[in-house]
Amino acid sequence: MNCNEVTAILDDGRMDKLDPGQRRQVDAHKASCVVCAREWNAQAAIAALPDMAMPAGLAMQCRAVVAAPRVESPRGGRRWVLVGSLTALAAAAAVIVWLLRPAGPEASAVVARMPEPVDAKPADDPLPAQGTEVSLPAAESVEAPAQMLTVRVIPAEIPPALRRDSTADASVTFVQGADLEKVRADANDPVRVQAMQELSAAVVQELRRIPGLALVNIDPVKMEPASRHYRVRIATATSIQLDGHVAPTNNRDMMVSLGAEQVFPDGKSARRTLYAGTMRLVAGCTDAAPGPASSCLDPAGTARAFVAKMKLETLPPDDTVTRPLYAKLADPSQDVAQRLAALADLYALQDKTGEIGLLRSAGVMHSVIELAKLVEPAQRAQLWRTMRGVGNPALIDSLLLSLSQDPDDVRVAAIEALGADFRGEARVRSTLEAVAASDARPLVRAVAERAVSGEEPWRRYVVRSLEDTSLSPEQRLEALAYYLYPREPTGGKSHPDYAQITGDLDDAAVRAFAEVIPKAGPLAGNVNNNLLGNIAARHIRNPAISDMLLEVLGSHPQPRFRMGAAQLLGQAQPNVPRVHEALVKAAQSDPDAGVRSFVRQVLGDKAP
Amino acid sequence: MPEARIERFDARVAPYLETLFRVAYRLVRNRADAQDLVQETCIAACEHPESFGNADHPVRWLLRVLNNRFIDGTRRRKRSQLVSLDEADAQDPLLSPRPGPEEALLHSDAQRVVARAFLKLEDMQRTLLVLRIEGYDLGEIEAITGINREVLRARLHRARASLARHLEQQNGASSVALLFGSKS
Repeated sequence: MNCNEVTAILDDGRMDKLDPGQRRQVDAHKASCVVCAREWNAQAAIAALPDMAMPAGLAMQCRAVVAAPRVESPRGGRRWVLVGSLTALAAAAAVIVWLLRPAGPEASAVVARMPEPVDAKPADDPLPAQGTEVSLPAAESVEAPAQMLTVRVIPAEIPPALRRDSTADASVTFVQGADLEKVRADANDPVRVQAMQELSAAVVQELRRIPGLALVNIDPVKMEPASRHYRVRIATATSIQLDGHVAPTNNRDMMVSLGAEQVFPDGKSARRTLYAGTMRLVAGCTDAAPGPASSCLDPAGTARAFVAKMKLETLPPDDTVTRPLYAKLADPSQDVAQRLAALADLYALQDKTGEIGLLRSAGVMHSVIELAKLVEPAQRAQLWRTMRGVGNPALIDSLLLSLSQDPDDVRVAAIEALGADFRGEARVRSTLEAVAASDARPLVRAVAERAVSGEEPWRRYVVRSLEDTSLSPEQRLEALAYYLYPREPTGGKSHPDYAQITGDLDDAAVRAFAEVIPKAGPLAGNVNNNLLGNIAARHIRNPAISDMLLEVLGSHPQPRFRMGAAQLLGQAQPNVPRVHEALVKAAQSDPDAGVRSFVRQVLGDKAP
Repeated sequence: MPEARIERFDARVAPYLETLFRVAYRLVRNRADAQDLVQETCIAACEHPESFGNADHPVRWLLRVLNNRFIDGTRRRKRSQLVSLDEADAQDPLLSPRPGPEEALLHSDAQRVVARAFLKLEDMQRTLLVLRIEGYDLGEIEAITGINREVLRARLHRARASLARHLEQQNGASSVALLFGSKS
């Protein structure tokens, strides 16, 4: 079989219609032709993506849409007709758009310019009644003033609110007809209807507590670029297990999904807050601990928690959020850990909402300098990482002191902060150059060199240390791990150019990596397995990687690593004789039953 | 005349709603946007009764409209992007560690990687791949998209190659690395 024949199979959609002989021919060709293998795998990957069942209310929505009178936009924009597609979610079927800005004549003017219907209800107005149709005007016709902040409560769109007994068989898939009937029945369940109405109303009520909030009827994504827009989604939710089946739940709970995001005029969104939580349906009971953890129906508590989280993660922080944090940070009577936690919260607030400058005040700086003297070294490293980017020169002395006397991990954090914010300062630069030239620890020298000279020498160092056989396995990998998994105050983020960095490793570096990774003990952050899997996958065709994976499959002490190696080998080179042989051997004689079972799955119909 | 439109919808459009939604969802990987596309297609069908009524293959006519709306609606379509489950805070007592409805269907990291890569393709590339996966042959795809059959082959090839490239660029590893850990 040649490339043209494989391409024809893809073009004609015959991938699943091949007889075993043709399949073998395709596999053989793919094993020798990277181009065809890539295309085949790409099309197969898309075909394997799960579909979503048609929402139960879509037909009703479409029917209502085509029946509704046409409203022409001055610019030919599309009509917006939103209909409560099932009565279960009628409370959320209203479209509510919020403007968050200080009340004033300008805001009023905006509301006055809105085409009908304009919803500018006072705070105690009820939500629209069940089944309300809201016909929105074309948004292009609406002008919004600068600095406007809108929050749109989007109608819940009939998510399939499945409710099952905890003892029920969970093997029924999401898309089967019987379940859809159940979805429809549940969606009409008056208890759910009521719960969703109350939750929607409670969220609206909570949003109204934010100063300057007003209601307008507008699609926020089509407003002026200078505006800030937010979208809130309230919906019932369904839990799907990893096997694709609906997770069983009991009859007293309802899954709800609450989402908020900032949306931009170009349509992109960011700063999302997403919740998938369980709300109890046991109404009318009393509970000693009301709130989100209550065992009773508590829409108000759920809404409070959601909006509070939204204020922390999505909306620009207001005084009610930041003031207590500043107070706690500055309070010397507080435990150091509490003060550090307040600083971390401020950092997270800044990081999540994009509201820069929260850490730039003189008060914060004073507290940080004070705390730096009180805390343990590891906490001091965290302080330096938190303050990186703030750029207040008052911090330089503390950083230089830390660089001169702290353990290496803390010194590295101090170097990062000094390099990021103050390398233009003569005394900082000379100190960094001295460290880069003569520090005892290679990684510290390299990080200082990076701070002074930029990324190129750093990248060379990463590769050089990887290939340096005079170092221990952990030392050889240390810089690479540090590079790919930078230590951030919020943790858990890998380098944004991870793909390029790992992809750019040349043959010698890949061979060095393959040689050293199976031998290395745990690296900082326990990133060994991620490094191994990702780099091996990226360079799977490098013989050194194949050899390494075979070694891991045959002898690595951790079953997880052996399974990972089997997976990579099985997907990339299933027909290479020595790979097949090793997989068969593992399937038959790996000491771990889980590994044997897994490898048999990898082998599929070729399993022994 | 609302009654006439409803009648037309029930008779000629409703039977294809599942197909329309499935194709729309595959194109945009987002339920709300898929519903928008389907709604707009329904409106077009009911407001152009002659054109739609004379179509020999109603489903092809509908898919052509849906595809045109999809191509035209880039800005709207982008307003809601995939929500990463990583952003759900499972530590909060309010929250369940379980995923939400839409996001949960993309139930593995590997599939999220594939979906993200797919969404980076050009609009028409997405259309071609989706129609191909839906099982339409080249003649039908030609009728729906208006692209000549020989050009279609070349574009399908480019779409697959682009997708493969995007997949490789995603987090530096193909999805096969998941057992080693999803943190790239």
